[in-house]
Amino acid sequence: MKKAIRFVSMILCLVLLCCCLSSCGQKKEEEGNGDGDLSGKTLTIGLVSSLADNTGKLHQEVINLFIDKWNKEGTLYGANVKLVAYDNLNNGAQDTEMSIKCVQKLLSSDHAQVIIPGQLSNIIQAVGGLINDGEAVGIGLGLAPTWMEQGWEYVYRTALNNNFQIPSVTATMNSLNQKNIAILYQNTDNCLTFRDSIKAAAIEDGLNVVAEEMLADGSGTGITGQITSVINSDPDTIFVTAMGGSFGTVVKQLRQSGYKGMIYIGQILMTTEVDSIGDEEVNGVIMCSPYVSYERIEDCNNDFVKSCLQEFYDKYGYCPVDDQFYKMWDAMLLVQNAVLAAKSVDAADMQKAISTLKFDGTAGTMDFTKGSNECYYGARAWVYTGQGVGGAPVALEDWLTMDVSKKVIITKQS
Amino acid sequence: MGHMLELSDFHYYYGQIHAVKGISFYVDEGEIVTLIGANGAGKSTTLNSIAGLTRALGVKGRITYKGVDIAGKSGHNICKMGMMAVVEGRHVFPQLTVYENLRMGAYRRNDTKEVLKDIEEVFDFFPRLRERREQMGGTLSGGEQQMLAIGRALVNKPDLILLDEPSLGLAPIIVEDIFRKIKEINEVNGTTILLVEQNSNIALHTASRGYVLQNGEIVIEGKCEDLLNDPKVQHAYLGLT
Amino acid sequence: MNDTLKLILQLMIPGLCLGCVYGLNGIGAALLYKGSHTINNAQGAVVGFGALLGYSLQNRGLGLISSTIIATIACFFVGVLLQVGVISQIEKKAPIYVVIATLALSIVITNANYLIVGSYTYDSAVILINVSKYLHIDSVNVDILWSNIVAIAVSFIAMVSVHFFLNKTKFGSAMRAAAMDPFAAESCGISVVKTRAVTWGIMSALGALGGCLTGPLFGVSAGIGIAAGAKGNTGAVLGGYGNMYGAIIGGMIIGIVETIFGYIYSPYQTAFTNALFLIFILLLPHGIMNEKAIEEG
Repeated sequence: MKKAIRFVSMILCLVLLCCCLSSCGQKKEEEGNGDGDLSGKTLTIGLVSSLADNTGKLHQEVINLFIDKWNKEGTLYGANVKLVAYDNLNNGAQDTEMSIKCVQKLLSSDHAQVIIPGQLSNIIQAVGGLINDGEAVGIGLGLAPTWMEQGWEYVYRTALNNNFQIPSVTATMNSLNQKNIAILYQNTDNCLTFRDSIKAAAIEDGLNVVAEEMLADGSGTGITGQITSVINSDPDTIFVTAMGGSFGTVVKQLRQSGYKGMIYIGQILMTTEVDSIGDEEVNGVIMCSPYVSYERIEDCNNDFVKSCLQEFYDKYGYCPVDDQFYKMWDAMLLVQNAVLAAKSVDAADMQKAISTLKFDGTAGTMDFTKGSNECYYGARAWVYTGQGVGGAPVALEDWLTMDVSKKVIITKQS
Repeated sequence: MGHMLELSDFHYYYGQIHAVKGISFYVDEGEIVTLIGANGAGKSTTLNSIAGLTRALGVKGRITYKGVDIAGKSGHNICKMGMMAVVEGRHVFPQLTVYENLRMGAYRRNDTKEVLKDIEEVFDFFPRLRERREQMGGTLSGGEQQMLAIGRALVNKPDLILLDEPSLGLAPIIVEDIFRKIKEINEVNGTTILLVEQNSNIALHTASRGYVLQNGEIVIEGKCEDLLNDPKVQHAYLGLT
Repeated sequence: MNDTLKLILQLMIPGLCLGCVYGLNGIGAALLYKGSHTINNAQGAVVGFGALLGYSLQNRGLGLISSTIIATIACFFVGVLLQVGVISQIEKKAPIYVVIATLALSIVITNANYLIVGSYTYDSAVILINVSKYLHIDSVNVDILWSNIVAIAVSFIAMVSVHFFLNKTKFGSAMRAAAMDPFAAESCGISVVKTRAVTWGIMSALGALGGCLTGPLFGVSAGIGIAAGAKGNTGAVLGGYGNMYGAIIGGMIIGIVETIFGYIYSPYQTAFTNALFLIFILLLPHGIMNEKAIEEG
């Protein structure tokens, strides 16, 4: 009797298996590799970040928003998605050694298919090799060109490489006929690199650097001499690269010393910084960035970004002003599209799929088909108007049509 | 009312060091009383403690002034009760003029007109100070500084003056001058004076009663005439054999 | 010629303005050093606190002038409170820890500032006179910010007021006396605890005033005073530590020199300024006013 039952069940199993296999085969023919039904499978996303502070909190919030949605709606062919987050904060700063340990753990014991090692380029630089060797999908949110130059096959970026931002800056200067530029920089590694790149790009694009002055590190107030020197060199425009939080003082001083031209800045201004500069003075501050931060969702006039912000707001009750929001959102879009295209949660299948992907992200089309593991290749120029729209800048083209642009001397040559 | 100032079983500790070991003495109104003794006997410590100028933590025992226990009170409060200390080493304010120094002596008084009159009186009393009126305290000679320190105390119109080593570092002729003035203050104004002095000879000739302090303890006390004739005092403090 | 004059005005006025703010902080440092031979590392934090207070009062609808006055007075009491509540307690028990204690206070106050307002810079109202931000000098074609001129003028008024308070009032003289000789002052009936508390009050109030005056120029942030506090101290040393007039002059020298070096060759601005400071101290160890000589008389 027992034998009979066993035999029947075996037959049943075989039949089932055959059905499965045949259906697989059919789908394969239609839509490529992978399994159409991933229920029962788990996709593990690993995050290494400073979990306790605002950045890490935002990272987790965005990931959880997507995971909840995916799991509820079965978006990823029913695959179960979970987040494993590790903290790399040590003595108040994100620590390289701790990050390495976190990534090792994610690879060996959590078997994470996707690993996101945060937004700091030095951390990504340190752990990128591990992720690559572990053949997981690595997604870096940092901006430095360095780690992308390592040739890691499986580490992607869902932000804009600084190297691609700078040509946008000089191209914008050229388009506005601003030939003589002055540079103000702070004495930090990041700012020095930025200064060198902008100088090189300027010379390549036929611009003249007429003055460059350093803003002494750590002293927010003793900068009048530098400001005077820069203004007296009579530039068409001024480029400022400084640490976050210092722009307010520099821009304010430039304006108060009577400078009426445009001021290029190297990174996004927080809405609070815009407030600190003052409406009249912030008008004409220009930057090249894939995205800008909005204090209120209504201020955003891009429907796609607006819907992302709205989705976040509905879940968490506030509008994120940190640009980490956009980078992480794009990272999640990448994961979603990779799984959908690969029809698999296997890292190798996802990697294969990513190189064919081209889809809409928060800063326009994310194009991974160029084989560089990058997705964005240029930035738009945004200008702050000081017109009380929640501190958010408008696109350069729009600003040029506005009345406030007449208050700024765009170029001295024409 | 009992004695104007009375110490009973007074101790003073500098941390672990027991500097004054339970002394008791009194000063009556109108008297000049002197505390004599060798260097380090505890004279200055006692005087500064009375004036509230030592660390309150070190003070043990009772100090009654005009019937109030003042042990451990802070100096400026004690000063308000009409006691003024002329501390050892003069301690004039070096970067204030002679006149300003005297004004500081009258800090607790609010009757400006009277104060100005009293300052003139001090100038009458020490004519040398009038000549130096606008000079900085720090530029005066030692004797002049001592006069200024005493003058500063006088402007306060105190009932009791504590004088610590007025003879220190002064030429003998000036010392005599200063002590004559001290006696005069007592006789003319009726101010009570507690005098701490190493120069026992002149102190005992100025005061009416005296206490001899040795290693933090009172070893001999009595009228100054008796002390001057006491062979032990003569031997140890007057240099006579 | 006009260009040179223009440049001098462009550099001197903001430099002098900064120098005045350093000088205001230097006065406090000098008075404190003279009075209790200690250094207040918390000065910069109090400056930031005062500036933020002034800013938040402006936000509540008060005018620039009244908010500055209120912030200054409030910080006077903050200073008194710090001295009475913390410093004098430590002084009583372990005087050598006072400097460390001020360092700790600085961190506590700065972080409290950050906690309350965050690490942002805020826009303080700009001083307008006759509805113009600038004073235009036609002959040399230069615009000078009224904010700078007002800051210099108010600083001068504050300095002169402190001078008169210290020299012409009874309590001021008592403060000087207590600073020279606390022992004798106490014996004269001057409460040294009180004069020290007022010293801290004046120091904090002057710092807050400086913070409020620079608000329109640099914006207001939690850390705005850190540099000003430190440079006030440096200026006080340059001027002859303990001499308030020296501290004012020292502060002004630092403000102007710093601005000029920033103009000439900015990468070495801080290095040059500090090298100059060192040379100065080597050549004139007792500062411009030769404080030691005065003291030893």
